[in-house]
Parts: sequence; C-alpha cells; structure tokens
Amino acid sequence: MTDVRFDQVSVHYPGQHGPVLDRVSLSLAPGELVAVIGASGCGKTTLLNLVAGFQTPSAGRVSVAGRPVAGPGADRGVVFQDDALFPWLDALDNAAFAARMQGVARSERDARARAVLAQVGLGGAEHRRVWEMSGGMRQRLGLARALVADPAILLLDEPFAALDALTRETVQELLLTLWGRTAKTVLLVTHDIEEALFLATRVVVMAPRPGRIVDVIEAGFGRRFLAGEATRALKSEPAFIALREQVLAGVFAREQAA
Amino acid sequence: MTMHPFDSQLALPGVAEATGASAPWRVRRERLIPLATIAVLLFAWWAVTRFGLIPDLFLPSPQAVFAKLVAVATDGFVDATLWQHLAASLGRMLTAFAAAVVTGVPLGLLIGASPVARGIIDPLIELYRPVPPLAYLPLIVIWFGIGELSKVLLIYLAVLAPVVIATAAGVRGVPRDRLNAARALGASRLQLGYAVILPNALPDILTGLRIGLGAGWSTLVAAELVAATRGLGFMIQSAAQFLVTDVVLLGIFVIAAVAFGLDGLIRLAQRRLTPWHGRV
Repeated sequence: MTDVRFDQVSVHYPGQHGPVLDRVSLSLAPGELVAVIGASGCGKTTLLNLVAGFQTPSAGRVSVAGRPVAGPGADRGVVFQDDALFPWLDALDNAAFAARMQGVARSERDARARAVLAQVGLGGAEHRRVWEMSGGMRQRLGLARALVADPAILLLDEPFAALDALTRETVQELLLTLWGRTAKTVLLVTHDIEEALFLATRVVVMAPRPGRIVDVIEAGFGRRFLAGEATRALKSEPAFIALREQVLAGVFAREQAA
Repeated sequence: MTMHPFDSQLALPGVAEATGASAPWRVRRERLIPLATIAVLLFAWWAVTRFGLIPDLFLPSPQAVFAKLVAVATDGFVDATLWQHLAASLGRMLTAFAAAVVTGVPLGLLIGASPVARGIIDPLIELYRPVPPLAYLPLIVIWFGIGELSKVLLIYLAVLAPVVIATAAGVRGVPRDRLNAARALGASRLQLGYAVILPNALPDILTGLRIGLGAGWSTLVAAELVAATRGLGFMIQSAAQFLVTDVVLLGIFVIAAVAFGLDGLIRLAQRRLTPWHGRV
C-alpha cells in the first residue's frame, strides 16, 4: 500500500525571510491523482521535491508508504517541466535508463523500454534522437522513462507547461489513460487550473508568503474521462466552468490581498 | 491511446527544412568564401613578388617556397628531411597531448565534483596558466635537463590548463534537473559520474581539447629552442639565423597545415560524439 503523507512540514531557506512552506499537512491515498496549483513562490514545486527526495524538510515529516523519505529512489518516478532527458541517448536508451542503473541485462531492459514506449504512444520511435523530437514526444518519453522502473508514485512537475494547447490535451489524456490502467498515486504540480481540474481527483490550492494550503477541491472529471466521456464535453460542462471560476476567483482574491 | 497526428507531424518538418532546397547553396557559399580569401591572398603574394615590389630576402615567391618544399622534403635542411622534422614535432605534440588528456580530464572531473579538490588544484593551474611558457622554460631546463622530457613537459603544461578548466566547467554545467532525473531513476553517485556527468561534459571536454591543441602548437617553437636537432620549430629558427626566408615560410605553412588538420579531426569527433551539442 502506497501513501504519501506530509505532517506539519516546513521548509526554510537560509537567509530568506519567511518559510517557503509553513506547516503543511496533506495526505494522498493510494491510487489518488492530486494536483497542486498556486501562484509562483507558493512552494508547490518544493512540495514535490520533498516527496522526490531532492530536498529535506526543515521541520515536520514527509513519508512514503509509512516510511520517512531519505533521498531519491526508483520507487518514485519524476517527470520534469523541461523533460530533462539525456540527449546522448536515443529514445530507447532514455527509457531504459532506470533499468540500466539497476544492472538489468541489455536484452531484458530493451524489452521493458520498448513496452513503456509503446504505452506512451512512441512505438516505432525507439531510435529517434531527443533533439529530433517535438515537445509532445519528449514529454511522452519523459513519462516512459519515469514508468520503466514501475514506481508506485508518479511525481509530475509542470510537465505540460511548455506544450501547445492541442498537444497538451492529448498528453493529458495519455496521462489519465496510464493512471487508469496502472492505479499509481500521482502528485501533479501545475499552474494551469483547467489542467488540474480535468486530471485530478482532488485539487490542492496553495498561496505564497508563507507557502501554505488554502483550499482543497474535490473533482472527478478525470474518472469520468476514463469512463468514456469526451474531453471537450467535460471541459465545457457548466459544473467544470463553475469550479474553474471559483478556484480562479479564490486565487485572484488572495493575490489582491497580498 | 494512439499518437496524436499533430505530434508525429510536428517532429520532422523542422529537420527537413534545415536540409531542404536552400541548404546546398548555403553550404557551398560557406565553403567557397574561405577558399576565395586564400586564393586572393596567394594571388597578391604572387603579384608582389612577380613585380619585385618586395625583395626575395624578405618575401620569396610562392613558386620558390614550393620548390623549397620539394627540396627540403627530399634532400632535407640542417641534417634532416622535412618528414623527419615533422615527425619529431608531431611526436612531441602528440605525446604531450595524450598525457594532458589522460591527466587533465580526470583532474577536471575531480575539480568539478569536489570543492576540496577544486581548492587544491584550481589555484595551482590559475597561477601557472597566465605565465608565458618561455618564462618558465629555463626552470624546466634546469630541473629536467635539455632532453626530450623538457620539451614534452613544456607543451604538456600548455595543453593541460585548458583541458582541466574546460572539463571542470563541463562538470559544473550539468543541468540540475538532469542530475535529479538520474537520481530519481536510481543512479548511484558513481553511476551519476559516468552515465550522466561525463557524457554531459563531453562537448566542453572536446572544446578544451581543441583549445589545448592550439596552445600546444604555440608552445612548440619555444620548446624546440633548447638543444633540439630536429623539429619544425627548430627548422624555422635555424633557417631564420641564416636568413633562409623560404624555409621559414615553409615551416610556418607546414605547422599551419598540420595544426589545421588535427583541429579538423577534433571537430569531426565533436560532430560524431556530441551531435546534440547546441541543439538541446
């Protein structure tokens, strides 16, 4: 059973006024897809870095599956905003990287990499070079690379921010399909409110100075997409638009007050 | 889920355009202009000597230099043929270069990876690097004598600094996200080193090798000042003492051609080994 838990977590940077995160508590149930949104500086990426193990909390506890996080590990896959792929490797070797680090034999890891590439719609692109790929393909490859070690938790740091609107929507659908198939716990950081509402089971709204959680909104549009409803219909539904405006108004009100 | 048509089509047109219809002309023009520059220079050289504007002693004609090339290649100059001079210089250069690569790259990796190593090695390199090789050449001769060792050592020191500095810069230039990505994929510290940091620094290392090679050639003549009996630098200096200007020019051209050729080899290696450089 996998479970991500933040317990009164604070993060201070030396020489900086006020904490980046101030006593944040949050739990992710197994198989949940939680989106974190907020203005820049609200600490949403810090939240993700804590789970990934890139950062340690100044106070409080971050635990995964009941155990405190101690550094990065292959049980948590991370997808980055600017893909962070390895340009000296082709698509197949990028996807196979985690398996190579584990010492898996060449033929075995190639087979695994081929399988995840097919899952993200990159079948046939195994020997493409990173710089020959479009932004959409690179993010798919980023996903495939994170999936190859079959992590229980997937951490996505604004993965679709640099994509054009049409590509972004297809990759969002891909993410939902993968999530529906694998039942991974997903923590998605984004500044796109529509994306958060469409994908997540719960949307966590954060505010800066100090970074804290100000609202948690239940949403279920992603599950409805998996049940067969169309993306455009869901995103233009009155309930969706009402929620979007509600979140937007909340974020705006706090921006004005700050 | 199938791949979005938008996605698959977006990938290639950019590449196709770059190598499309207008490209061959651009490539040809880029190659032609430098050749034209050289041709004009050669013509001007020929013209001023042909009409006696500059005396032979100062500037022999291109034909005379070419004739000298043939003569020195077959009969030799100061007891050695051109090929023997060339072999002596190239041997020193390549020995020094190989030693600088074998020691400089690990030193650079160490500096980039460890603040302690950086604190120890960085000041040593920064202190000797700005000093002209001719200034410390006498010291090297006093310590290591007038044999081959001193000559190779002088060139080695000139090549070493750029290799170390470029390698260290390459190591420090690894994007944080790329390192974090590798750590999240389960890479150990050692694996980070050879599977991420080293390939990531490779473009900088190769640039360092190119700069180092250039620095090595510029030190070659100084290195062959001391008790050499063969070598292109030695040949040029001997010729200068007897005002054999055509051999001086010949030596310069041979060094230029060989240096250009070796630089081309490294550029070829850059294209082959780091094709992503500048594109990602």
